[in-house]
Formats: sequence, C-alpha cells, structure tokens
Amino acid sequence: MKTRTAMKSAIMAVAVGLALSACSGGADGGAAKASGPPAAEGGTLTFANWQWLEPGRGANILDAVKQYESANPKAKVEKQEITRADYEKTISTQIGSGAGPDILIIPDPFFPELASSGALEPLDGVLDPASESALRKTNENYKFDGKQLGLIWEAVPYALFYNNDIMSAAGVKPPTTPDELATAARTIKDKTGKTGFAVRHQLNEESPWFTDYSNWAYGFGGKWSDGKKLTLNSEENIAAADAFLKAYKSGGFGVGDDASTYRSKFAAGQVGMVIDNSSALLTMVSSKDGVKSSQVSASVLPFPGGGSAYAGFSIGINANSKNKELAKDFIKWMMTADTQSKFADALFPSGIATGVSAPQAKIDANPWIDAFYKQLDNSSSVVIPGFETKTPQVRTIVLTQVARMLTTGISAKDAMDAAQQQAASLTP
Amino acid sequence: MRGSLFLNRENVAMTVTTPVRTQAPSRPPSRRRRFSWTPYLFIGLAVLYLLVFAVLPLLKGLDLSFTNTRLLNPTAGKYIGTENYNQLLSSGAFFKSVATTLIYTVFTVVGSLTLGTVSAFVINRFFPGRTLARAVMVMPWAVPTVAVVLVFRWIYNDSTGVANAATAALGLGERGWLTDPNYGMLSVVIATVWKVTPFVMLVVLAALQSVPEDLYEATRIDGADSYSTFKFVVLPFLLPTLRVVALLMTIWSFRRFEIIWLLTGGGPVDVTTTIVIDVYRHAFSNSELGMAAAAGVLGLLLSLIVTAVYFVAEQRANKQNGVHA
Repeated sequence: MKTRTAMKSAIMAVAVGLALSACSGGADGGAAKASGPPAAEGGTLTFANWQWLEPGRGANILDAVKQYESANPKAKVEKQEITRADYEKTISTQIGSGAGPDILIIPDPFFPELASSGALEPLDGVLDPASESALRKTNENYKFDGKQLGLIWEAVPYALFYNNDIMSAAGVKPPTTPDELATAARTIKDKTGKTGFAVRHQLNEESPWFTDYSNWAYGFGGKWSDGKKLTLNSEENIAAADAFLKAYKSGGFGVGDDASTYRSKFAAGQVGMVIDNSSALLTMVSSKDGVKSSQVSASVLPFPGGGSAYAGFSIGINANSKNKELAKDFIKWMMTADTQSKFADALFPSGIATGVSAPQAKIDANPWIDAFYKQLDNSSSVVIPGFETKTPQVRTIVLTQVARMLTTGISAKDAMDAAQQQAASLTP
Repeated sequence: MRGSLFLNRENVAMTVTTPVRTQAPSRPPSRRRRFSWTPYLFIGLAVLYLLVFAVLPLLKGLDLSFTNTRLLNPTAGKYIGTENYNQLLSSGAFFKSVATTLIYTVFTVVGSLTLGTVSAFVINRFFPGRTLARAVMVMPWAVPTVAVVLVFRWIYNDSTGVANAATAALGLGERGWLTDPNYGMLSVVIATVWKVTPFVMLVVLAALQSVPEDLYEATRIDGADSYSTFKFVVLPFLLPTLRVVALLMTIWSFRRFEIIWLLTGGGPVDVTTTIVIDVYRHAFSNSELGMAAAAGVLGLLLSLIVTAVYFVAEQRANKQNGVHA
C-alpha cells in the first residue's frame, strides 16, 4: 500500500509539474516589469552588439563603453557578442522568452518590430537638458506612439569607393552615371583581370542587401511607399532595377561574391569599385598587409537623384531588463558632450546621436570620408513609411524579384510589377 | 492435439514438451497476480520524455498555428481560426515550397542510396588500402555541416571556384552554381549527397557483412553467376535495410535546413526554398510565429503521409512475401 501511495504521489507531482511548465513561459506573464535598483547601487549591464566582433573597431567601441565603469565605479558593463547574421533572431528569441540583454543596438528595420511589441523601455526624461538639446533631429525617427524608445547609436552612410591603383591601371575615371559604372566595371575586368565592381546581390544576405539595394532606388529618386500604399513599381524604382541589372551583366561584376568575400578581395587589391558603407570601408583599409586608406578614394553614388540609404542603428533598453535604472544612467552618461566625442572617435566614420564630430586627425588620415559625409546629408532610412512592421515582408518580395531579374532574364519592369502585385495583400 | 495436424520437427517437439509443462506445479494464484510497478516505471520514463519533448511542443505548435502570435511576444497571440492556413493554402509560394521539398528529397534520397550502396559494395571487397579508404569515405559524415558548406561555397564560387575551373577546362563554360536558378538545386543536392552518402554506405556495409559466407559458397557450388548471386542471395538481405535507410533519408531530407540555408538561403530566386526554409523565414525574418507554426503543421502532415505510404507499401510487400513463401 505504501509503495502504491508513494507512486501515486510521484505521478501527481509530475503531472502538476507538467501542467505548470505548460502554463509558464512567455515574455512577461503579465507581471509588472521592475525598474531595478537605483544606478548608484551599481550592478552589471549586459550590452548586445555584433560590432564587438569587428576586428579593430570592436575593441575601440568596447573601450569607449567600458569608460562608464570609471564614471560609475560600482557598475560593470559586459559585452554580449552575437554575429550580425544571427542578431535579430537571437535578440527576438531572448526577449520573447522574457530575457535578453539590458542594453542593445537595434538595426533600423528591427526597430518597429521591437517598439510595437513593447520590448523597449521609454527613454523620455533620461537625458540632461544640455544633452537633449544637442541631439540630431534624426533621433525623432526612434519615437513610437509619442515615446522615445531609442537614440542614434550610429548612422552609417554609403558611397562609391575605389582602388586608385586599379582605376589607373585600367585607365578609367570614377563613374558619375549608372552607364559609366557598368562600362568602368567591364574595362577594369578586361584590362586588369580583376573584379570591376562588387555589391551585395544574393538572398542569403537579405537584410543587409536591402539596405545596399535601397541606395539604387533612393539614388534614382524612388521610394518604397508613399506612406499609404507601396510604390514598388514606380518609374524610378524600375529605372534603378534596370541600372542594377546593367551593372550585374556588365561582365565586370563580382557575381556570386557575398559581402565578406568581396570585402576581403577589395582589401587584398582584387576589386576595383564597391558601393558599401563607411564602417565596412574602414575595416577593409585597416588590415596590416592590405590596401591602405591612402590608396582609396570615394565619390557620391553615380545615380541621378542624389539620394541614398543609410544603415541606421539605435541604442535602446530592453523592457525585460532588471537593471533599467542603471541602463538609463549609462545612456545619460553616453549622451553627454564629453562622452559623445569619445564615441565619435570609436565609431568613426559613422555619424552619431549628436553633432559632435570625430577627431580632425582621423578625418585627415581618411580623406575618402568626405564623400560619405556628403551622401549622409541626403540619405534616408530603409524602414518603409506606413509599412514599418511589414518591412521584412516587403524586403523579401522586392529582393526575390530583383534576384529573378538578375538570373532569369525578365525585365526590370516585369520584376517590379510582379513585386507590386505580390505585395498587394500587405496593408499599412 | 495441436501438433497432430501439422507434423514437422517443430510441432513434434511441441507435442513432446507440452505435457511436461502441464505437469509442472502451478504457482499460487496470489503470487502470479502480484502487481509490479517496475515495467510501468521503465515505460513511464520513456513516455514522460516523449510527452515533454515531443507531444507537448507538438500540441503547442498546433495551438500556435491558429493564432497571430509574433516572435517577440509569444504569449500575446490571439486566435484567428484557420486564417494562417487559408493564407498559406491560397498562396502559390507554399505549394512551390512543397514541390521544391519533394524535388530535393527525391534527388537526395536516390543519389545517396545509389552512391552509398555502390560504395558499400566496393569497400566490402578486399583490396590493398581498404581500411584507409573506409576511413576517408566516412569523413564527410563526420565533418561538421558548417565546414562542409564553407568548402562547397568556395568550390561553387563563380569567379574563383574549382567547379567553374573544371567546367571551363572541359570546354563546358562557366556556371552560376549558387547564383543561377537553373543550377541552384543541383548544387545543393550535390553538397547534401556528398555529406550523407557515408551514412548509407555504413549501414549497407553492415547489412552486406551479415550475409552468411555459406550462402556465397553454396551459390558458387551451384554455378550461379554474379548477377544471380546478387539477385537471389544479397538483395533479399539488403532490401529491408535499404527500405529503412530510404525512409530515414526521406524524413531527414524533408527537415534538412542548415546545408540549404547556409549555401543559398533559399535562393537563387527561390528555387531551394523548401518547407523548412519557409517556416524559418516566417518565424525569424517576418517574426510570424503563428504562420510559421501553420507551415510547420502542414509540413508535418506531408511527412506523415510519406511515412504512412512507406508502412502500407512495406505491409503489402510482407504479405506478398508471405504468399510466395
């Protein structure tokens, strides 16, 4: 009898355990999210960013972040490394399960998803009035339902850059139109045997490819929506797709090379021209044995409209954080004028939350940066107005059709018409 | 009485032993009916494991598929009936991913079974260096998938890959192995077959080595040629193994993700977007957990249909064998 009773109890315990485990889980379970102890008590902040993994630059950024430990001796900042390719899904999974880092860097297309699901802590009233007034206007982009949920971490501009030696060897001048770009790419390939021009063009890099590709659309004056409906097959977008196709088919394009491949090749002096962002270029010219910064020049994008995309990243606080007060104190410290100048140095050549500029010596050592700064003045986010949370779906549709255009021989118009038709069911 | 109708060695023996059994002293009824928890404990552990790690997640997945749950807020989904299923079944994209899955599965299973069986026959024979050859041929199975993908990405690279160097040297021109929709599936199938063939080879080799040597000798004495030996001696031993391996390879191919995702991300265009890639995109690119669950449930149904077809076919084959025996 005793054995039977004991077994019954065990089974009951397991059943209750299973029932509890089935009922538990989830982001917050409806419980109120505590702010955590005051910042003066200190604690450990976890800070998620893929940039920790960037050679050279990652260490500089971490140095700047770690200076908070001097400002608040009871605080520690620990980095959480996640590769760029896995970043959004890792953060989503962590936050979805009620955990995640205290502070995180947020790529622009990811921001609406986080904001609309209540995953970010409001930052209103966190900054000193002086810091508040120094913020760039672009910080308004990180307001959601009237609340400031993020602040600019960096805005990374795009430009066309090239290896001066390869351009001279091929006898080509920096292109200023899409046709000149295609011709120059072909000429470089023919005369030097090296890849003439490279840019992302494959679906396995979907998210960063969309930012890259948006340069073409914005560069032709196109937009992905008018705020109410999608405009994927506008004349400008079709012209941009056609220019991309011409460059791809030029005979000098680095077909099949993903970003890590063509960036390595550029650093090794094997690629003539690239359209990419400024921080990627800085990494490329930072290798010991590769192409030096002085061997590289840059110019604004060779497109008629003058516009471009920028890769925008904001900093925010996870609503699940148990150290919210400390995290807010970190952001307050980070936005002061002194600290901003350190971040302008560490995040060089990107634009940061305030107008503080990078050290002049650094700008002088990398003269190509002027073209990027020029392009930044006329650049836009790749988050689609009116379709903020649908941006990933629109992105997949557009890029699948662009890939179809590149590889199956359909026209740019047919590709963009098909994209518009496929996206018809998506509503703001 | 039972043995008297069909007299052969087995039932003669039974008629002899039966009386002995009936004469044995029977156990007291109370001891014979004594209840024991031990078998329940052993079964219970397995049932508990399956319940926690298979049944509950499956039920949760089914539940999710009727909601609009999003990845960042998995407890805030609302029931939307069959809307996810309606959307999937009314879009051509889902059926295309089903077709892509079937194409990928057929080519992968046929390719790996053929190469694996042939390889097993080759390394079952003695030749100098056989042990080394076996070790080398098993290596692809042991190499981590990510490493395999990196190697194949290099092989398939349009401008610097050895695949294009080889086709160019043969006068066949260059191909966009990972960039041309006409070659995307072929490239993924080749990489997959290279990776999984050693598994087939090892299993078939084990089956080959279980064929009794006496049977080979008997066929030699009877003057049977190689083909007859294979057909009447080896194949009957191999068939059950091949059927099970084919089923395993089919199920694994249905749910294979990493090789496809890392090689092509479902492209070029969408020629390698299988159901699993589709599920992943819904869940992690679009954050649509409910939609991903619905696609997963439909994929599971497809796997169940294939498995059911396999078991029905096997039962029929067994029945036929029973009739012929």
